Amino acid sequence: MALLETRGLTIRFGGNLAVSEVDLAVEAGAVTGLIGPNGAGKTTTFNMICGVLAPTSGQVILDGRDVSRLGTHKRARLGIGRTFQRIEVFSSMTVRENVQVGCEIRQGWGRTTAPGPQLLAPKGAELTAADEVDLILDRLGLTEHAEVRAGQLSTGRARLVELGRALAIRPRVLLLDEPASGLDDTETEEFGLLLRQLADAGLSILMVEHDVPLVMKVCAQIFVLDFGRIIASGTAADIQQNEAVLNAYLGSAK
Amino acid sequence: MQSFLNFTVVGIALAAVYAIAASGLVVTYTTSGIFNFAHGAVGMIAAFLYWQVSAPTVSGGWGWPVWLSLIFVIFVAAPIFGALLERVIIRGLEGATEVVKIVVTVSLLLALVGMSQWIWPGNITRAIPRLFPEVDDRITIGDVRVPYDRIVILVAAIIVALVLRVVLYKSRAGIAMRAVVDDRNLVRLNGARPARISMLSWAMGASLAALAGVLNAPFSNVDAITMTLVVINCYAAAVVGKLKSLPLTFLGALVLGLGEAYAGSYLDSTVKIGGYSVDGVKFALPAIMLFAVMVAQPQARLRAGGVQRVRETWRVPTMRTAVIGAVVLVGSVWGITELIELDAERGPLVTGLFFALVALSLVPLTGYAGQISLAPMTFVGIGAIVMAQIGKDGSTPGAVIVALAVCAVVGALVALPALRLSGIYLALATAAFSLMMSKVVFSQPKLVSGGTIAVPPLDLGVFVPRTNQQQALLLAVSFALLGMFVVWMRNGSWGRRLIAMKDSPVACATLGLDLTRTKIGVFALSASIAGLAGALANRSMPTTDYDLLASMSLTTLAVVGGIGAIGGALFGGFLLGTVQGLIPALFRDNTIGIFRFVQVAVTDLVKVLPGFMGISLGRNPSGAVGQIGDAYRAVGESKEATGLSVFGVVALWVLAKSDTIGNWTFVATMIVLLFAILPLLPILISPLPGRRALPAGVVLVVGLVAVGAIDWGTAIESTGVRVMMMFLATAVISGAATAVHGALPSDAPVEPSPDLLGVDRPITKSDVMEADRMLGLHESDLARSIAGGS
Amino acid sequence: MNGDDTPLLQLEGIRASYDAIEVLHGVDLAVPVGKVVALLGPNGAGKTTTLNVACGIVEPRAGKVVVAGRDVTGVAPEELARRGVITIPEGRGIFPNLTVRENLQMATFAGRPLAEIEELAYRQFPRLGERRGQLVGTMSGGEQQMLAMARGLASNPAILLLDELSMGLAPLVVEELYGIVAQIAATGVSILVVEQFARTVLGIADLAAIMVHGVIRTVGTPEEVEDELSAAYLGGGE
Repeated sequence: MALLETRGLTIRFGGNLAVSEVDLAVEAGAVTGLIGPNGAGKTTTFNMICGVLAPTSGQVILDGRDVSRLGTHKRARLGIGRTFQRIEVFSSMTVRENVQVGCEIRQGWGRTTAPGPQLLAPKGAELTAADEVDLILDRLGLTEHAEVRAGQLSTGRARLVELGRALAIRPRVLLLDEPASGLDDTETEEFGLLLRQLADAGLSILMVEHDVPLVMKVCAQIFVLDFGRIIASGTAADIQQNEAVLNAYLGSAK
Repeated sequence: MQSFLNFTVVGIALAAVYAIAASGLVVTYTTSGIFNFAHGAVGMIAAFLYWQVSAPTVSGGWGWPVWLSLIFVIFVAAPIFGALLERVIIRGLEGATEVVKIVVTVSLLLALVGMSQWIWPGNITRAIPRLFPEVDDRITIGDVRVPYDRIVILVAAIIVALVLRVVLYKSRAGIAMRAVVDDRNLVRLNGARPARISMLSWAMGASLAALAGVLNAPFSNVDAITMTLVVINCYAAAVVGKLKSLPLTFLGALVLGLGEAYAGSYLDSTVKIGGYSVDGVKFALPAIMLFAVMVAQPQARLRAGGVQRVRETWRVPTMRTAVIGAVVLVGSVWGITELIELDAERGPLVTGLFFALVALSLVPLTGYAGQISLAPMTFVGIGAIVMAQIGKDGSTPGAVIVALAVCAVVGALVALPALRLSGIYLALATAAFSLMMSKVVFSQPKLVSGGTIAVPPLDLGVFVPRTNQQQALLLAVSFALLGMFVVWMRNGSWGRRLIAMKDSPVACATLGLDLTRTKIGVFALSASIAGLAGALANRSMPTTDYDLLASMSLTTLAVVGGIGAIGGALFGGFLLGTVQGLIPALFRDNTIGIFRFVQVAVTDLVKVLPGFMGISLGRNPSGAVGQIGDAYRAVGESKEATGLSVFGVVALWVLAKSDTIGNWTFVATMIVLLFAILPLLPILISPLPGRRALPAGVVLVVGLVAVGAIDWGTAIESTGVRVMMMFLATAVISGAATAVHGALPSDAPVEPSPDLLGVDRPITKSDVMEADRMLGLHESDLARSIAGGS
Repeated sequence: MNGDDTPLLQLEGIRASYDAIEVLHGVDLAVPVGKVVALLGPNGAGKTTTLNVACGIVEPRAGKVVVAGRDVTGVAPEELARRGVITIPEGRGIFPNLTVRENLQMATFAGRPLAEIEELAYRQFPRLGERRGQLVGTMSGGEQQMLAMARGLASNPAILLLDELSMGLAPLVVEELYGIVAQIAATGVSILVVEQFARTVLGIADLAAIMVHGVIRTVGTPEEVEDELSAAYLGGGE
């Protein structure tokens, strides 16, 4: 069964149906892609999943539990982490502090919710908060920028900081909104490897990304959103063959 | 029944005034995004101006006819004033944080109230006659008599509603005003000029405030504060319309007006509950309504729109700096009080420290978490009451603890409804809370007898502050300890969380942080610190010490001082203490006679000073202490400079203490030392090549000795002029030394050339990034150009 | 105008940054008189920023913006609009809380009287005429984009800057819109089109420029750049 599901997710802004009847399924321990042209409603869908926007109708199901009525912070405590399309780093803090705050907030969740293990660490490793911050910085290649103010980073690096911060809360599902935009080719490749490794360790990832080769490479399952609706879903091979996707994504040839 | 209908007539007329005022507020808010706290003050100034032009010459007016006065005030003076406000003050606020936006218009309110008290002092009664003064000027419907002037008000409100409708929906300028709300940039791409549109909307807003002020004046005391507050009530009406919808705003005004009229008439003022009068409740109705509306609003949506870069910058304080600062503060306070022989003359120092302690309460709340309170002095009042009630015949340390707890709980309760909403609502809620407390609680004879709270001294057994010196030391130690606590907290996980919340609330929520709880926590902490200040006040406090205007002054000056740092709170507190205590004392009989052309009584100037300081914030949102800190940071970084300055200060103090030099000479030499020598010291010690450090140093020393040689205590009779001459001498010395040295200090930030990186300090990673950026290198470009050959 | 070789719009060595981060690293681009230039490239390449520099919203850190031979660097967008540089920004250039008619009334700031604008707009897009009193926010995406186009068209442009007309629209609507762009071009208006969906615009463009990572990589006729498109979009390829 899928770890994260949306059922009939729909939102209307004024007269515009921004997202309509979207059903997504994110399998445990896999990378799932959500692609589509600009303005198709991908970020809006993310906002509904993590509770920043309230859908007009539809449900968000995490591990069999309907979380549609919970606030953003409660969903985070249940294991939904995310990054943002438009950078939301803590710009007045250093890179290290950004990740550290993530750890500290998680430690402050209280007894009601127990977060999972740190997926970047070897299984069963005991981590202090400081170790965990160092580990995350190291694995994301941020160690040498640790003392730089996040507000001064390039877009690509700021995205990595957001990813590190999200990993600090040890999520079960991670929503990544265009994580590779701003990274160069080498960095993108490393990033792809990192995603694979996280998935192998058991993390479910739902990723919105415009770098189509990356998506094709790392995603087991891909959903294509156009005009607020799912127009196709399947493996990379299925999607590449799909005429509707080509038309939607690259525009109709004249 | 007849009286009910009569009350209804009164209520509707009141509602009409509120509706007119509130619609002006909504028009300016929607088009500029700035909530004008000074809206009421604009109405008040308009009413005074109306009195000025229309009153008969015998009573000091200019005797213009009523019709001309009305046209002049409402259609000429007010719109010009509104447009000027937009041009000079509001336009500069684009991109500023919510806190700065709020503080600037609050300052405007303070400045306008101060100006009106200055121009139209309260020594004569100014009555504005009703438009139809005769008893027969009314129509009678059945048993209900409706005076003409109430009808005029109602008609005015209807006309305003119609005109606004036509202007906003039919005229191109009005359509552009609404378009600005949707998308400012797109308005520009259409070829319209948003700057002009904003000026127009502020002109309209000021005109509406003036109309409301003038119409209401005959029914109210012609007094700056009363009239300002009447229009403040319209905030509640505007909130009903979510600060956007004009029809809902009119509805809110109707409910408010009728409610007030009925409450004023039917609430039995003799009823007491447990010895407490409920009479004040009728005045608190707008505040109660404001809270009720806020509770009913749905939670504000989190916005994921990318983080905004703000203009303020702060350094994270270290514990080491905090401890040194604490020791220096307590030591300086002791040193200064030792030099002042008359205990009464130590009073201004106590006042400054007291305000500094209150300002400290805003550091975690406003400086770290980015939330604002317009009620810090209200919590001071609550703390004072608790101390007075429990402490007068019981244990005062126990009373302090109770005061802390009560303020924390009350603070949390007040903040709860507002924290779910955006910053402007918290400012409104705290302002409403402040008004409500003044009307309902601080007016209870049982709690505040004779209009003052007698706060007993803190009795610690071994230490009871009986003199000003002891009180100053108590406050200094309290500030030092709390300051260290706040710094410790800032460096801990909770402090980081507050900063994170200010930087990006939506990111915090997605990390699992409960925003509302965190905000309530910091608000409770802030309220406790303010309450502590009240509990430690150790004097009789009149109600004006903790009313809304007192809170507004404090918040303004705290933010001016620089609320992101402990030093800023100290500075802000002393600014307020100096403005309210020291300057009037020093300049008691002085006017600032600038060559006797313009004579301004200093006491009048003091009234408008806090306001103008706050308005200046629009240009430098980090507050003063950031700049001051930058000037002195180099001193702290150089061991030699630090040593020399400590030696200088101690040496001068010893000279003064041993009566080798007079106290005034001590003050003069300290001013020279602090403002001329210290900022220059670092560049003199490690000289830049090609500069004349030694001659400049000689100039400074000669200057210091020359100033020290003057017996300032007798040389100039007037203390005010004396102080001004000291600063003048300092400026001359500083200027001469700088000129001799050859380096002109420039406060304009110079973009450092990448060639100079690493010359003055080791290269860091961020320097390299910065250099890359300046040279236009992009890592991926580099990578590509290397790999691009294939 | 001094000869055919003076481009209507010319960007020279434009560098632009948001805060500390530079996003355009020296962009040179020219739109010849009466031509349609397509500015293509993947997301985040800096296309929209380039357009924002051209219309005056973003002030460049270095470089010049020249319109019809005159240096207009640093001139406010409203002044440019009044001189015929008409922009339809990304994500619907409309005011959602105004009616269709009020939106068109906003276009009168650029000079033409309302009656003429309305006539032009409703003739080109009869559907807008039927809905002149409707709040634009309640209309469909395609209708909103038509309104934005109508405004651009009716403002009497010398040059039209179009940003991602196709965003979030059904292919049929996009085709219709670009058909209109071609019509406008035929009347001699110079046009700069920013578009992510390259194939949609290549058909109507005289010239195409491919932008990657804040620089223009190639300029040429649609046929010339076709081969490089996939490399630019799908990364690698070099």
